[in-house]
Amino acid sequence: MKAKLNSLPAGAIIVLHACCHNPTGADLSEAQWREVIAAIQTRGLVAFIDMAYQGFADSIAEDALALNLFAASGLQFFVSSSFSKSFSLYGERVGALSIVTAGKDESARVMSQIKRVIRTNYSNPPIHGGAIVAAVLANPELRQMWEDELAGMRDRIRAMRVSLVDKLKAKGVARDFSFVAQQRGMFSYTGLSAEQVERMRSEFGIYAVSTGRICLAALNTKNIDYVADAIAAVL
Amino acid sequence: MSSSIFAAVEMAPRDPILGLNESFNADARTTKVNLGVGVYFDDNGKIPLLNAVKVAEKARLEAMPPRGYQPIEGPGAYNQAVQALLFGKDSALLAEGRVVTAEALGGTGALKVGADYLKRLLPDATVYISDPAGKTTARCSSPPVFRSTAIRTTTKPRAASISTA
Ligand SMILES: Cc1ncc(COP(=O)(O)O)c(C=O)c1O
Repeated sequence: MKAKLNSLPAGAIIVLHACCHNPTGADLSEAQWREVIAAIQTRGLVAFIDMAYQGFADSIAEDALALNLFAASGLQFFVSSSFSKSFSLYGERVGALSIVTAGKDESARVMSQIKRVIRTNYSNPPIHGGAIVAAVLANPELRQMWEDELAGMRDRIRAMRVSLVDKLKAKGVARDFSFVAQQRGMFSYTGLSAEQVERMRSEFGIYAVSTGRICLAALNTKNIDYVADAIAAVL
Repeated sequence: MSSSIFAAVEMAPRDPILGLNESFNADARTTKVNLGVGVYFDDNGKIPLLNAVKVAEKARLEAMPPRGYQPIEGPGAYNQAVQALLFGKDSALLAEGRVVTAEALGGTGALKVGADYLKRLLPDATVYISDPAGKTTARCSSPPVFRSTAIRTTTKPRAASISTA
């Protein structure tokens, strides 16, 4: 990744996932983020950080690690963030674009440009979803309730990851799937081929993306054995 | 007789992930499982409505506030709450006025507004999207959004595989 970054032309825009990488579930360590930031600085690249899963890896604060490192770097950068997953408000369409500038004066000018883009697209955002999110975040009791519920989702996904690995092993699957238990967020690449994914669908009614990506957050204590059996059968 | 203006329209390819939902919904098997879309389901296979959301929504419905237009960038209270989540409420960046935030229609909407602005700011720049598996088709919202904005996109093979086991 470092070599690739160092080969990009100045001014290139690079989209990075802050945590819970979609589709792989593989995140960078703090040291690796520092190297990425250094390469971005050296090459004069523009970072666009896509953060759709804050709170799904470790916690709200810990999942902001990459953002904090970028913030400390002095770079200007873009952040897209979403409450679709963290508030389970997919259909309300609640998110935000944030841009870090070099200072207050720039901020005012950049915001005027962003407003122009929005005005000519959809004029202004809908009220309801954002109002709910703002109300929860503004009220200490509701905010705590939300963080606890978010932790509940995170812990359940993690339990499903561990359980899937255990079950595959128990079914005598020789391939090492332990990476699934180490990865974070909703997704992992299983390494299943497009043909194997197709067999999962036609023979078992289990739908995965043809690249082998699966959403671990769709597993539960009732379907996990069935899914593990299917994976073992098509391997 | 004039022909329809749509007569020559081609069928657009199905979205690889949301298209999967359509096939899933059409599947009659009771044992079917959808591992395709990036949605969290609870242990009963349902999308949860969080209790914190229920409480806030109930209070809002009871207050029955009017529905005027919002500011173009969304309400200040919302945008400040977003900034505090992203950078921490005591962040120096926020104190220095270095962060601007605009509410957007989900993460996809935020990517699209950002991409539209980048197209103005850096019209000739190429967008590189990290693609750790080295496969080239788009599997999340960001690549199609950037493509639709006509910024040149490419993928960065094996970007994050350094942290994969
Ligand atoms: C990395 C990433 N960015 C953005 C999004 C889009 O989020 P939203 O549903 O809020 O548009 C997703 C959703 O799957 C995602 O995985």
